[in-house]
Amino acid sequence: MSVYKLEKIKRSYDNNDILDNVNLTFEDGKIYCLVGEIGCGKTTLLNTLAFLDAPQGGNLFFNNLPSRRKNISYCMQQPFLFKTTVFNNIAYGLKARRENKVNEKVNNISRLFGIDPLLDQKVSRLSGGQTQKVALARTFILDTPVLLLDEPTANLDEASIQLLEGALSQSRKKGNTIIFATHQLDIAYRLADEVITIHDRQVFPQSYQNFFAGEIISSNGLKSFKINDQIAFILAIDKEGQAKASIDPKEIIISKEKFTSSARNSLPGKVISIIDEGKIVKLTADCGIKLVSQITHKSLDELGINVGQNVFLTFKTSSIKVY
Amino acid sequence: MNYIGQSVTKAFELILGFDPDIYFIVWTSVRIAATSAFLATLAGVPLGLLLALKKFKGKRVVSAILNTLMAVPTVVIGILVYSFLTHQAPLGSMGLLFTPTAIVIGQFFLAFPIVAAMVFSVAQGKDKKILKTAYGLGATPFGAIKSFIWEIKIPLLAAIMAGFGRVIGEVGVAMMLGGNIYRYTRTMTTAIALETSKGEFALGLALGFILLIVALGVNSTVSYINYRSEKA
Repeated sequence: MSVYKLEKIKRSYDNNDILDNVNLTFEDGKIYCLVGEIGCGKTTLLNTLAFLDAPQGGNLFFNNLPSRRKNISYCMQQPFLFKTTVFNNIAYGLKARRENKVNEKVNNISRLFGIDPLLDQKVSRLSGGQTQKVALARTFILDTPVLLLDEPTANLDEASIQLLEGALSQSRKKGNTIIFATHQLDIAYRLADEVITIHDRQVFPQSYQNFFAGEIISSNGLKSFKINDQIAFILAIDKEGQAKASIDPKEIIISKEKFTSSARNSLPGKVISIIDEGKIVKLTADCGIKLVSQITHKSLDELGINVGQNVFLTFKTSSIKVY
Repeated sequence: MNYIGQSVTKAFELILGFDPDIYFIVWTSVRIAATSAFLATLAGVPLGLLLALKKFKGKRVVSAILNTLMAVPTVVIGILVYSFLTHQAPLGSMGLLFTPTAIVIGQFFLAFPIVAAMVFSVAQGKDKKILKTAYGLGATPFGAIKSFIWEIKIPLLAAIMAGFGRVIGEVGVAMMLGGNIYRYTRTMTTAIALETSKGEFALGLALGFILLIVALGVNSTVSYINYRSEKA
């Protein structure tokens, strides 16, 4: 059963389109993660889902739940805490909903986030990490069918992220739908059932393409990102060690023959799928790893490429994003 | 110099001797000014919040009118309200002219733009996340606005005090609409004007000192609340 259905949602600020023609469905009881670069529209989409910003076009359906106010809770990016005690902040939503057992619930959630010693403190004395945990506790305590979290791991150390994971896991067990935004891909993959990419005003309801775990190694003065014994990309980066990398599918050039260019990476592969996605075509090739390239219909027609054909996939070192 | 000294001494005698006339005048002034400031708060706070938090056509015009009203001399407000309350005027039959109510009406128009403009300025500069946070946690629109007001309570109080300060010390409206009637509409400022014109400096000075004390008290209270709020 779907909780949200978005049809052709459009949102812009000061004549700048942030979201355009967004079509999405969020299913009940799943954890979704919105990823994309800073400023790509993750917060705008969350504000829309929280009904704080009305879309300027399209339809937003919030299914099967009679009251939006009582069924959605939202933890904003760089959260605002009311100028009072930690306790009052955590209890705010419960009091707004006139719920019972406020003390008991606040004590339980604050223990879960490890902030129970801070309950009587004024929020002005909290650190960034403590502020984030109070804001998260204030959201999770409401136990609403839908939780929206914008950059929930910001300011949190690894131990606190694990506490958050515990809270997410508990909430999911209760059947709640959680939608959170982050620009940290590793966290997205660790916590979410589905990763949704926002890029260039559009959403891509599938995992971020060309995302790999590997190791940055140095040989002959060159840095490369080694995925397995056969596959390594040349990189222009200083650090070394375990890392994750992604390659924007739009940055991968498809050719029938290997060609000479300034691009340092060119891998041979076999086309395994060609999928029409409206304005663009998603071409996947097996190069030992699966690489996805995004090309136009015109390019595909001109190249005359079919499934099963051998091609070369070429991309610059600057096209590889390392996390 | 001796004359001034004698007047100051007599003024203190009147104050410390709890002269009933003086304290009646003080009570009248404070009562009227507080009522005006209260009514200005009821109207000015919602308008200030509306201007700061909502987008609507004509917002700039309303803001410009408020700023203009803040600078209008008290006698101009006095004559305008007078023209509505005088016997031949539309509201003349209500018999409000030369009553404390008439002063309250006039002083309301003095305090209202100050309260509204200051609340507008404070609310505009405040983090808009307050409302979104409240809504995001399930607050009703009324609950969210209540939380917003709580967050700006100190500057809000300062705005109300500024409105009170504007009217407690004004003379134009009180004189034109109140008529400076003994033990009825005589306020501190109209009494000072009258006593000074009569050459009764001592009574004028005594009221002047009390006015200063009231102003000092108001400002000290705001400063103290501000200080406590910053320390909290």
